[in-house]
Amino acid sequence: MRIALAWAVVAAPLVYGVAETARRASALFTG
Amino acid sequence: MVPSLLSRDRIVAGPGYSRWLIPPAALAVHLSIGQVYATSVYKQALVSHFDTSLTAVGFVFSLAIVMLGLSAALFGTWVDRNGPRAAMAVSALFWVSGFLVAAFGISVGQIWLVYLGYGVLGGIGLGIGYISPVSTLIKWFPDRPGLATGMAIMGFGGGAMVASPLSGRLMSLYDAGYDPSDTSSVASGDAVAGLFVTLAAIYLVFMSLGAFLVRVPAHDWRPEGWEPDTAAAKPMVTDASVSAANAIRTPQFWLLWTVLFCNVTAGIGILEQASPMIQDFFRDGDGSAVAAAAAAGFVGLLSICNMAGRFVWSSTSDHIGRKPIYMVYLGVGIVLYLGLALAGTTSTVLFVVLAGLIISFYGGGFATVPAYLRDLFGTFQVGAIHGRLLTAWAAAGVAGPLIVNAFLDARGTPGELVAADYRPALLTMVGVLAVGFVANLLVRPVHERFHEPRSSEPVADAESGTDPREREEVSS
Repeated sequence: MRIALAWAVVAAPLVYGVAETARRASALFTG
Repeated sequence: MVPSLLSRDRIVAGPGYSRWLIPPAALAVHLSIGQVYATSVYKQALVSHFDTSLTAVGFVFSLAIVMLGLSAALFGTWVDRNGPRAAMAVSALFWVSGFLVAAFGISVGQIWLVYLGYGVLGGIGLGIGYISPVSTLIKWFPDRPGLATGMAIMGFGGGAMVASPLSGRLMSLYDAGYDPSDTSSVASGDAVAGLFVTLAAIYLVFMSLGAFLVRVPAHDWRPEGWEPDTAAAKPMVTDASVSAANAIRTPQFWLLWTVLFCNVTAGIGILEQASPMIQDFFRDGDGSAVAAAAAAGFVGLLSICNMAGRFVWSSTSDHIGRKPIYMVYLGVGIVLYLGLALAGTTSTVLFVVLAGLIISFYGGGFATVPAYLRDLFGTFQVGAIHGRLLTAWAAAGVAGPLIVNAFLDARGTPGELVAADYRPALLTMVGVLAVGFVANLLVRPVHERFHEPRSSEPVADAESGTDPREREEVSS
């Protein structure tokens, strides 16, 4: 439980960052 | 001296503590300090606020990277001696103070306070924070050091990916007239000051979490089923210990310094110019076949490749070995750079694939180097040795852009350059990678005369807090 919580805390911003960057990167194919 | 709450003795893991809590602790620190690569979001706002040049504002970032290299080299031994919790706490203190001093400087219109805050104080926090979890991770994951350091150093690449969109949104909260989706929109200085104070608060919480979670393994701890003798039986992996003071006297240290310097110089050459480069490669008369939005997308894609490379290639090195993986980074890198220089204009897909792979090798080089150091010098003072090696990063941070900009300046003016104008710079990078390739080829196991005496059990000494500099060093 403690391990899952610790990973969730760091994974949440990382997923946000990757998703935002991927959204921006998609402009390479659409822009 | 550090408060007892932060001391190494207080954080020796008890039975049942899972080593899988260490990577999130390390990630919490590296995700925070990785913000340093997100400075472009507010660069223009600072230029307008201080009514100065991009160079003057860009110097803040350069100063922070130089301080990173210097502080990692200077405080590496202190970090190894006092343990990861003290190092993470001190790093957080400097990093957060840096933001606050810089925010004050913006508020009172004094750019030198931004240099002092973000550049100097923040840079010291960066250096200490960067190396703070490395030796601990290697001790917890002696069976998979590449995977462990890859996870942490991946966070440094990911930090900018988090901070960049977050900063845009926060600045739009503090300045209603600012639109982060509009590239021509510029935030006010007050919005940047507000952003810095907010980031300071967020990073203080996040880095404190890392310091709270982190533990060092007990002296006799081993992963289940792992035998040190099996690991040391591999070629190029030692079970001996080399002190940081002795390491810098070995040819291996300077060969690795050269390897890292060359790999980073070549990678920065592309990263620095990514957006204009893809547009210039596909220039069509006055315009470019690649629009500005697509070029920004290319930069985003490179960030993902940089981050993924840190994890994927570093983990791969656990299976194929450190020396072979650097053969790939540098040798295949040469082929990729040649492909970019000679056939990069053939298609945008080819250009993107080649550049993406080059940047993944750039990231991989950063993430794999602590494990390479562990293999050559042992775990004794690997954090301090890593800190000294990071001066190569600071040097490459100056050399890479200097080489590329010097060639491009000589070829024409920005906005009018074409693919052929990049060729001399790219071919120079091929030469730089070739130097790194040869340096890696020359790496051999460290001579016994540099090893610590086995009877002194250096790991135990390090954990008891004895100053390693007080130890008798092996004469070279």
